[in-house]
Order: sequence, then C-alpha cells, then structure tokens
Amino acid sequence: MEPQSNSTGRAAANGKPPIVKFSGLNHYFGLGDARRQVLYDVDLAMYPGEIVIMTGPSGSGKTTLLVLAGGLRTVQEGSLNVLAHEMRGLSVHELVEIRRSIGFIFQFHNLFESLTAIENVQLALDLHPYSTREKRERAVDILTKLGLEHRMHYKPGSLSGGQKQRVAVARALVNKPRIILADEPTAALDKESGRIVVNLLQEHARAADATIILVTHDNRILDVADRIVTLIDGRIVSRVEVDETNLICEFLRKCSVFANQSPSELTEIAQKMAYEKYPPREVIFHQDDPGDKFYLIREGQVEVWIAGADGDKLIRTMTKGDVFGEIALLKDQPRSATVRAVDEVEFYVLRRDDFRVALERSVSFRDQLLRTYAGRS
Amino acid sequence: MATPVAWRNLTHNLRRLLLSLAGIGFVVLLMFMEMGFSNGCFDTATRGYTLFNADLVIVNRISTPASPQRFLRDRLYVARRSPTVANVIPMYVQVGALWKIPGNAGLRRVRVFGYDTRQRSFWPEEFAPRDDLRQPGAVLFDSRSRALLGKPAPGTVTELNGRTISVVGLAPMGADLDTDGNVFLDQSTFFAIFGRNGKSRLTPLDVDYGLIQLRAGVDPKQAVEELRKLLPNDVRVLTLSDYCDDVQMYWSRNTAVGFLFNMGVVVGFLIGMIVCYQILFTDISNNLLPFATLKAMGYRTSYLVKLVLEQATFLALLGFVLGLIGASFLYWIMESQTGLTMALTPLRIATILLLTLVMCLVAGLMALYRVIRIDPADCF
Repeated sequence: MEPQSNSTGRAAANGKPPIVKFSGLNHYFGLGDARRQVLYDVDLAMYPGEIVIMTGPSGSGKTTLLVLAGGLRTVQEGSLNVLAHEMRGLSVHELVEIRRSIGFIFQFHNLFESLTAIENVQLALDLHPYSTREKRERAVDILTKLGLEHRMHYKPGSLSGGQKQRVAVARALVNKPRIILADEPTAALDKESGRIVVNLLQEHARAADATIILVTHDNRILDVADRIVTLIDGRIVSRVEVDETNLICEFLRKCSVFANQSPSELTEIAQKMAYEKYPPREVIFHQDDPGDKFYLIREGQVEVWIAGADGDKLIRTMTKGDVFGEIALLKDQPRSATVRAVDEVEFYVLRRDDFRVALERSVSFRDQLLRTYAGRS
Repeated sequence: MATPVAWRNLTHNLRRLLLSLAGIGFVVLLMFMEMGFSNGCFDTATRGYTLFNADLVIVNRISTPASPQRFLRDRLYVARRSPTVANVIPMYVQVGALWKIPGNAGLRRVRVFGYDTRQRSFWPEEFAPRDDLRQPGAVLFDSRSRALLGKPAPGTVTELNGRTISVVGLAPMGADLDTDGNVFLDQSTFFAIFGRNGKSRLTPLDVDYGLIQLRAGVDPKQAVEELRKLLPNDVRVLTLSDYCDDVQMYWSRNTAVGFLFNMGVVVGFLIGMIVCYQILFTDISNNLLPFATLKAMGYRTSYLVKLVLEQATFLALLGFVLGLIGASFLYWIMESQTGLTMALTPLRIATILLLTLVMCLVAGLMALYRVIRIDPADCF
C-alpha cells in the first residue's frame, strides 16, 4: 500500500474542506503569437482559518493567482473552486455575485476622497440588503474595533496613511467574508501600522474561520502566515507549513546528523520534507531494500526488526521525534533492518538526493574541509 | 439608504464645483441669451398684431411678412355674411413712409397703420377712442419708437410723406427689426396721404388685413373652417395667434436671423457638452482606483453608469439654476435698454432645461467608456 501524501498537514488535519482550491490550473496572457503562459499546473488548497502568504519575484504569477481566486479573471484551464463554486465557466455576472462574498485589500487604500471613513465602509454594506440602521451599526462596530471610533466622520484627506489603510481593511472585513485577498496591504505603511493591519487580519481569520491570502514582499509580516507559498515563473516552488516547519526543525535539531546546521539550513531541509502517513502494521521498508529516504516520526510508533538465523528480532521501538533511515543513505548501503508501523504513523520524509545536498551544504562539513586545508599550509 | 457617492464626488471639492457650475451656468446663460435674442426679434415682429382685439385675421394667400400683398375689400363683405362673424373691418398698412424728424430736417422710415378709428372695440384704449383722430392730418405716434425718430409730444406738427400732420396723442407699440417706429391714423387721413393724390396711389378697395370679431360663444377653429368654405382661395383666414406663429416661423425660416441665433444655441450646447464631459472625465480619472475597487467588491458596471449619469444630472440642474438666475437679470437689462421683448415663458425655460439635461447626459455617456473599461484586476 502506497503511503498517503499530503502537503498540508495541519489544516487538512482539522478536516474542513478547502475554501479555495486550485487544481491543475494553467493560465495564459495574450492571444495568438503573443500568448504567454503565466501559471503552470498550479495545485493549491487553502483552508478555513488559514493565512497563506504568497511570495515570489514580480512577474512570478502570484498576483494572477490572487486575481483568479477573486473572480476578477475567468479561469482558462484546470479547475478553481472558490466557496464551493467551480469558477471555470462562470459568466461575468456570476463572478460578480461571488465577489460580493470576498474581501479585497489593495496596496493603496483606494478610498473615495469625497466620502467619510464610515461612508466608505458603508459602500461595502450597500451591496447587501441591510437596513440603514443595521449598516450604520455594522460600520460603527468594525471601525471601533479597528480603533477608528474617533475618526469615523473624517474624510481620507484628514487621516494618516495607517488610518486610511485601516479604513480599507474595515471595508473589506465589514461583511465578514470567508475569503480575504490582500495585495501588499502593508507596503505603504510603517512598521507599527503594518503590524496593526496584519494582526487585524489574523484575528479575522480566526474569528470568521476565513482564509486570508496575502501577497507580500514584506518580511516583517511573514510571522502571521500559516503557510508560505513561493512562486517562480508561474510554478509553485515551495510550500512551507510554518508551524510544521518549526516542528520539523525542532526535531531535526535534536538529531545528531543535523546537529551543526544553522537555523536557516534546518528550515530549508524542513521545507523539502514531505508528509507521509502509514496505517497500523504497515511495513515502511524491508531489510536489504535499497535506501532512498530519510524518515522523521511526526506521530506514532514504529518497530525495528532485524532478520537473524533464529528468526526476526525486535531491536527497538521508536517514537515521535526519532529519525531513522540515515545510515543507508550515508553509506550508500541497503537497509539494515525492517521497519514497521505499530499504530497509525505520520512521517516527514526527505529524499536521498535532498538529504545529501543538505549534508554537503552543512556548515560543519565545510568547516572540516577548511580546517583540513588550513592544517596543511 | 445607499451612500450618495455621486453627490459627494460632485461637492467634495467646493472650488472645483464652483468652477464647473460657472462653466455650465455660463453655457446655459449663453443659450438663454441666444434664444432670447431670437425670440425677442420674432416676438416684436408680431407685437403689432397682438394689440388688435381680433379673433381672426384675413390675409392675401401669397402675402409674406417680407413682401406683403393686398387683397380685395370685397372678401370682407363675404366674411361678414357668415353667422359666426360679429364684425369685420379692414386694416391698411404702409411700411417705409417717410417721417420728418421733428426739430430736424432728417427723414426716417416709419410704418403707418390706417383704420376706422370709430370701430373702438378693435383697439386698446390708447389707440383709438378719441374723436380728434377724425380731423385731417391727426395722428397717434408710437411712444415706444426708437429715439432717433425724435420725441414728438401731443401738439407736435411735422410731415409724413410730405404731408403736414399733427401728433394728437401717443400709443405704445415698439420698434422691431423692420421699422424704427409706428404711426397710427384714421383711414381717411391714411388715404389722404397715400391715396390717389399721393405717390403711393393706394385705394380703400385693396386691404392689407381683415380683422374679424366673432360672436360670443363661437369656437374660433370652427369659424375658421366655415369661413374657408365661404371665401375664395386667394385669401387665407386664420386665428390671430396662428397668424402670429406663421409670421414668426417665416422670419425664423427665411432669414439669417433665426439661423444665426439657433446656431448660437447649438454652439452653446456643444461647448456645454465639452465642458461637462471634461468635468466628468476628470472626476472619473481622479477616482479610477476607488471605482475599480467598487467593481472588485461586486458592484456591477451599471451601478457606475448610474453614478456618472447622476452626477451629470446634478451638474445640469445646478448649472441650469445658475444660468437661469443670470439670464433673468440680463433679460431685464436688455429689455429696459432695447425695447425688445425678452420674455421668459415657461415653455422657453423648459426648453433650455431640456437642452441642458441632454447636453450633460450626452457628455456623461461620452465619459462612460472610461468607466466601462475599468478593470478591477488592475487594482493589483
């Protein structure tokens, strides 16, 4: 039986269906000879309560992903599911309808200079059949929550940059949308204002069980992310489960093989590790199999058996945080034992090539070489 | 209640709003003035006829205001036989009679009305009810004539077509494009001056206008129908107001005056459209990102279309009020200075209002392409 692979461990674990799901999505700009592919086979699922930061160089396609998720462009190839609607093939009219359940935050506040803060927020409420009083109450509520209760009747011209962006955030949040799409929301803000804005987003993600997709280059706000997805040239090149990565790093640090790696190197290794799950009694590998993976136990227990003349012998059991499989990779030998799951076991696995690359890059390895050369001279 | 975005965008910048309204108000004023001049000319062209207390008028079929033709007095006797008719009288008119300016050797042309001054019911009080008009050489002078005809007062003696006349009274009519002033006299005096013995050789048998008063309770339209059956077709019979419309139509269609003023209105309309377009376009351009955001949020393009047209309507209405106030003031000045009638009738006000609205809405439609082309994806 093949192990189940899943790249989104934590969110998938809470069992909720994704709010936004790209599957095999391709996207092109231009027509005829000028037609140029900007997204290649994108598979990405975003779950309730999750903040996903999309990053990558400009022109990498991250904004296009955001625009597609927001129903601002029609899907050309593949599938995109937003709020349980398949977006491919929807008419412009239907897309507009879906957009009403999405909160948009842009790099610039995009407020009407002629309207007061509360009126700008109410514009978002006008789309829904609330009574005048209800609209007012909701707008006052959200602005108060964002610390703007004394600025409600100010026009953008009399507000600071941070306050304006907070009004824009209020406008995006006031309908309590399940999806927030934010494009560089902190780019025009100082550190403090940027922090306020991302904290608000984080709070909203938890409170409304909403998915927040943030496109940003702002390193100061990476910490709010549950997941960091990096695109280069239209392809997803890495997906980092921030919590998972931290967890893996904790485990790896305790592992003698990686003891000398720097935190950034550990993070890099962690990002390359894939998630695998085995049912109880399942054999992970047999003795004398070729070694191809390095295993880190995330959850569960395994038994290590060695075949001898007098039958199989249980050497030891291993559990959460333990690693195995490195010897075959280091020495390029077949497996020296059989490993079997006791109960349901979750692993992080690293392929052999990635394992080797990681070791070669290791600071300690380079240090040893340097020391050797220095000793010679 | 939806947020009044159009109104707020319009009034946000007070200085710009005032400039915009000044622009549109000025165009409205321009259209009012052009229309006022044109109406002033045409109104005054028929002012003489509207003074008569007549229900219907008979004229030569081929007569035009520019080249009046007379018709046989016999036609009036035919008309008198109709049971609908209470009274019929002839009216004789001589344009371009030579008026000697009192206290001055100069001559000016005036228009002379000759009629039976005993038929008092046909005239306003100032024009007829005096017995001294029956005396030879007695005339009434148009008190609203242009000043260059001199300032004759009752008792002034001067000459008309070389005959000595004496002014016995004043009656108000007014100058128009055709003439500088008018003289009114009894038909006996009229033929004494312009008849067989004078240069003009007019006879009482050839009439310029036949004026008809109908019996009480008779519908004028019906009377016209009956008289048409009765009268030979070398004359036309129409109601006085139809005749006035006819004359105005003639001048506006057949002279450059009407064309020029209409052209003025059209030019004003076009300038206004450009001004309004410019205002709307600038406002849309200043708000491209907020507008795009509205689209992203789920507002349909039709909402933005409504915003722009709403704003155009506000501009039109505010600009119109401003222009109307200005026009009323200028009309008042013009009227008191030139003697031309510049009336702001409800119909004329409504016409300019409609023109202003169309002007701004067309400008709005022209500016719409900018809104329709906004792509919310460009916000990112």
